[in-house]
Amino acid sequence: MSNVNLSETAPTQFQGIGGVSLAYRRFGKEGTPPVVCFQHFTGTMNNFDPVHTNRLARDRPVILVDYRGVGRSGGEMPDSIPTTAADIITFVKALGLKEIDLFGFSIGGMVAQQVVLDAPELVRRVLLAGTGPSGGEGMQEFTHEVMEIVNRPNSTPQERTLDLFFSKSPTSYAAGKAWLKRIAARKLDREPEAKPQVGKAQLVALAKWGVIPATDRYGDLKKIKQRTLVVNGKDDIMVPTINSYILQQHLPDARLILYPDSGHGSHFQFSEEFAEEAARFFAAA
Amino acid sequence: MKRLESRKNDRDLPVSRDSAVGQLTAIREWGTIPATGRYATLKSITHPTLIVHGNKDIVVTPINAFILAEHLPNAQLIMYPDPSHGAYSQYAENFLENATVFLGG
Repeated sequence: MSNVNLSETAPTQFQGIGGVSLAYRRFGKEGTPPVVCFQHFTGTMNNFDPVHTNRLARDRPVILVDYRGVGRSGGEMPDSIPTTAADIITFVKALGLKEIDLFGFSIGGMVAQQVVLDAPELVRRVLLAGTGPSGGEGMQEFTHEVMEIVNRPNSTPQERTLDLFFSKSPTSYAAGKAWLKRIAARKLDREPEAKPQVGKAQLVALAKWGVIPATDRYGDLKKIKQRTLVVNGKDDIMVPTINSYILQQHLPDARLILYPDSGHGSHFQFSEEFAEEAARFFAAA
Repeated sequence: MKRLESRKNDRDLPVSRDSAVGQLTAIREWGTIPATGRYATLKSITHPTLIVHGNKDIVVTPINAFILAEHLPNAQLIMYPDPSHGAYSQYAENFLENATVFLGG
């Protein structure tokens, strides 16, 4: 089983959620609640790390899904996290699932938090990577450093992703390149890159998520009773690392792992170690 | 506590009052905030480091574990929910697995 590269061979499927269909892939050992995985800003299913998904699939079903408007999912990307989460809840129910785990990276971690807030009865465990709470620290807008990378002329998407997700050390950069190679390996059913509308809508959604409430700043986190694992690199420039600490401090049952020498994509950099940790987290009684 | 009591041979003597007073003095000295370069010495510890902490630690508050992770050049942090100062005892099995991976790497 461990030699089977399900991440590379599972075909893309489609599930209607009323008016549009969401593109998804499902693979892995049946018999436990599936882990439903949500992608980063403008990312598609192409970008899930096969080291993670193949490891998790040895123990449980893995479901990768593209938000409305992303890849081959129909319609337009919603410009709010709650609307995106509502799509996911409809999708999960349409698949007939009664209990799921969640794994979200970056904006996907925000969607995961919203799903568990809005449908707590569906969710067993939550894994959050490189993300932060609504109204978190420095989450009102991207820093000058991030915007300089995003708008850098004459750069490829791969170069920009490396600079955004990995730290400046040679080891981090090399790990980033290895990740890019891993996610390029799959040839079957590659999803089209996100259209421009996706990025625009997600920026609006991120800005709304970043608004600091007038009272009870992290009050929503207290409502998430599910066991949670929070993971980040020590130098995340996209969602500042202090937000992972804040998540851990305010969520009732969260553990935190911060990796050295890394940024937003620490779980790609320490892919094997993280995959084992994630597998243990979902498997533990 | 029960696990600690299981060993019967060669049990160590309780810590003396003098030792405890000495340790308190050492802790106060350690806690002094320097006039400049507050966390600068951490930069010189380049060895792989594993930090383990409980998020309700009332002895050494949890933000210090975060500060260690941010300032040590090569440190991984694991923060457990619910424990105070004895996180690695409360999460003994998970801690052991992580420590084994860390030491074996």
